[in-house]
Amino acid sequence: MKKKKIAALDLDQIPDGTMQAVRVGRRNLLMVRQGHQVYALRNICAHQGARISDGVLTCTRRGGHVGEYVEEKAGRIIRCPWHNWEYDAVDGSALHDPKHTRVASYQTVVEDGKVWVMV
Amino acid sequence: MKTNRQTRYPPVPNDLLELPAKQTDMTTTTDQHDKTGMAPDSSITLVDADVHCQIRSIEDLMPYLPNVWQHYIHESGLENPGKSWYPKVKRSAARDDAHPPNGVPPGSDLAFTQKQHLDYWKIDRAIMNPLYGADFLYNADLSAALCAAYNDFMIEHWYEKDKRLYGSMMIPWRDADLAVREIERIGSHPRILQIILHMTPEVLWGQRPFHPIWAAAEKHNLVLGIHWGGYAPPRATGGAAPSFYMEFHTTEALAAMAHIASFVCEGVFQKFPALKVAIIEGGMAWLPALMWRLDKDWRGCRMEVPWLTESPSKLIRRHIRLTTQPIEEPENPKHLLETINHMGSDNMLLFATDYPHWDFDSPAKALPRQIPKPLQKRIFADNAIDFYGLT
Ligand code: FES
Repeated sequence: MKKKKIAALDLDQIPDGTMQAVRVGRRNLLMVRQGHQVYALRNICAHQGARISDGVLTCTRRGGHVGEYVEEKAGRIIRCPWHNWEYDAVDGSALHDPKHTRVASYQTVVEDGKVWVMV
Repeated sequence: MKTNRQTRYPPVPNDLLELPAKQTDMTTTTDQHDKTGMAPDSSITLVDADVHCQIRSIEDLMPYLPNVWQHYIHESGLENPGKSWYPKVKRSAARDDAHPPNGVPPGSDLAFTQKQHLDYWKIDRAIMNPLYGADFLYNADLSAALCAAYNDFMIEHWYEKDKRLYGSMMIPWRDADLAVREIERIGSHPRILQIILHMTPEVLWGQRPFHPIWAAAEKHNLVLGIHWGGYAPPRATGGAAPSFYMEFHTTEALAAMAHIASFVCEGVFQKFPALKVAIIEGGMAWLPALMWRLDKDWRGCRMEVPWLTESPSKLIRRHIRLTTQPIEEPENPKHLLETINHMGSDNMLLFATDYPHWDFDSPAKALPRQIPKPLQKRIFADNAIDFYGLT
């Protein structure tokens, strides 16, 4: 089905390094801004359905040697407010099982000071 | 319908001592065990992954102890370290028929064990687990001396005397240096394939002070055998000591779960990718629930243990095995099969009898016939052959 391009919000409504819930048509989306890039995800956790916009935008810790804590992916990891599942804003994948578990992600473009979502 | 195993044995006679020996001479002192893994021996159809052996008294250890410790033990009147906190429901926690007629403790007479257990059930291989409190002594030097003496006694009088037997060694685990020294001393002995540890030692075995010991165990291809019980206050079962042996006997499964979670979360299997752990005599029906719970918590707590890059259940399936005894006996035996299916692998279980103890499981009757033959074959032999590298 052909996708529609719909304006979600003005770019200056979402400061860099933050996330925001928006409604686009009948969809509840989560917008995540990293610099000039804005990602759009379905705002419903794949686990038990929490609004992931109520969680935190943060980083994760890389798998390394035992006892080693190294942060990575700062500003693009959303932790669900309920049971702490982590999602990568870039593609909606859940970090514990990126191949099989994700929230839907949508293509976005920034034009004329607006963030447009392809839905 | 009867299973093969149920038709394999004659009825238990009134007096086993009158039975003629069914095995030809099994005595050997040659190297039968290739821990680097030869092709499995298809003639092995029954492996007992938990048989107990013990000394007759501490005097058995004297020839293996330096003079200074012989004197120390005699001066102090030390008998067997490690008394149980619970009176058992039977003398020595043993089957009533497992007390040898010559009056020595159950499991301390090789000939009797051979006749009553190994020959009678036609056990092809047995993993021998000595239970003795030497490794719990707070004096690490005394502990090291007694563990070494016990190991030497068992090698000479049991493990090298019957080619069906493989042995577990004790280590003075309160001192990692001394424990590693003992592993370096005898860990490569061809009949030794396991380190015997307990479920209630006041510590969790995955924790870091033990990692140098586990490195040595991995180097020598020794399985860590975590056996029911222990000689410390039994607190691993939820913080308090139960009042009764029955409670303790049942809830040791909680301690087993705690040790598995400890190994997983501490990253032991990331640090030591070849290390293997056998949970002995803790039962097994709880394993699926533990895996489900660990996996669920891992999804939400990964950032706390970022070295866990795969799910706990995968690590458990790769590194851990459970002995079947004392097997759970649900009213509907089919439920046991369903439980095994929930484990997600046919490789998880090792059949064990726990001879000579009272909660012994019979090779003829313990596994319900609802368990399909191929799975029975894995449980009775193949899983242990693969896991321990038995030949
Ligand atoms: S609802 Fe999001 S992790 Fe459970």
